[in-house]
Amino acid sequence: MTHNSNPSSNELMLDQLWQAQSARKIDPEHIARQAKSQQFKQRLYITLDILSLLPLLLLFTLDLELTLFLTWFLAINCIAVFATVIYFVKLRWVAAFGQDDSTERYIQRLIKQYRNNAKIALVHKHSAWISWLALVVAFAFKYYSDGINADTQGLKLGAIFIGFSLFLAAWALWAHKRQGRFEKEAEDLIQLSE
Amino acid sequence: MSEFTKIMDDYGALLSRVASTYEANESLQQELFQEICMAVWQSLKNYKGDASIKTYILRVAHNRCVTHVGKQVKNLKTATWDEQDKDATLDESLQQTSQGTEQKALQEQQIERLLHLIRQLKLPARQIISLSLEGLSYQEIADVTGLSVTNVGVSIKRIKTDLQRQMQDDA
Repeated sequence: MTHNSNPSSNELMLDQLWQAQSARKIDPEHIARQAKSQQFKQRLYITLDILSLLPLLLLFTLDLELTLFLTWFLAINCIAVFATVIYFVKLRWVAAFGQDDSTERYIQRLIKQYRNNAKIALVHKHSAWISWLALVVAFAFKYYSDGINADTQGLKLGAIFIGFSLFLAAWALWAHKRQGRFEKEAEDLIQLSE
Repeated sequence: MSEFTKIMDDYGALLSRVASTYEANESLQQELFQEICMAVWQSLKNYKGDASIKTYILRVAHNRCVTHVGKQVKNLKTATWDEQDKDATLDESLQQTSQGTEQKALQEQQIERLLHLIRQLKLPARQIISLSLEGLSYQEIADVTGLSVTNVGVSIKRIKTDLQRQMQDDA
């Protein structure tokens, strides 16, 4: 037997104190109902995540004539969305069914997950200025190739540009905060587990 | 009686102590306890019997607590055990003394102190000592934590010595 079979009186004191804690009562039936509801939600979210790919798949069934630029743009977006959905499904799956690992491995997995989330937030953050730049290039391309009628199109394009810029700024700020939060959570967990 | 109800009858108190190991705030502790119980309910269908049910649910419970601590750490207003806390606990204890036994009040105070000291430990140490105080063998603790048996043994001795010294210093 590996457990110390002759504990000192001090050790006994700790053991007795520990066991003397008042325990909380819980209604198992109520917990089982809550857990079933939670399980239903988890399964629903996983299903919705997978179903969110359907609109993308529908794109491939349509007979669209796309420019080379748009084809590549759509292809890259499809890959990114597909990878993101797989990652989210994996996260949900692990959160729901991956609780019975040893704690050391569980902590390592959690730290990795926080770091991955921080990386995704970083990608989102940089995607904001890249998208903004792409918009500027697209507008410049339109201006030099077809020309822009200031009377009919100027106001509309200006509104699109300002709206899109504001949206991307908010997106970048949100992603920056998420990145910081996940980096901190990973760092805190490392500190606590060392 | 369902399997889950039986498990809660047998190990409900143990799971409640796991929650108190990781969370000091009363309402958050209750919330954490419920989350632990739900995680246990959900994990039961994955139980294949390769470890004792006690070891298995402890693993699930501690992992749930790690997630809780990871999320809560940014909100922590770390309470330090200062003279004010000690006086407050003592006042509470004295009130209890007038109502009940002095022995019980003193014990309550010691339990609070012990829990406070344990919550100051790093996660692996916190887990090891709580499992040891639950009476698990070194091998069982190693199974739950993923650490080696030798590492567990050395850690338990060191942590217990530290705890006893701090409890005596405060007495």
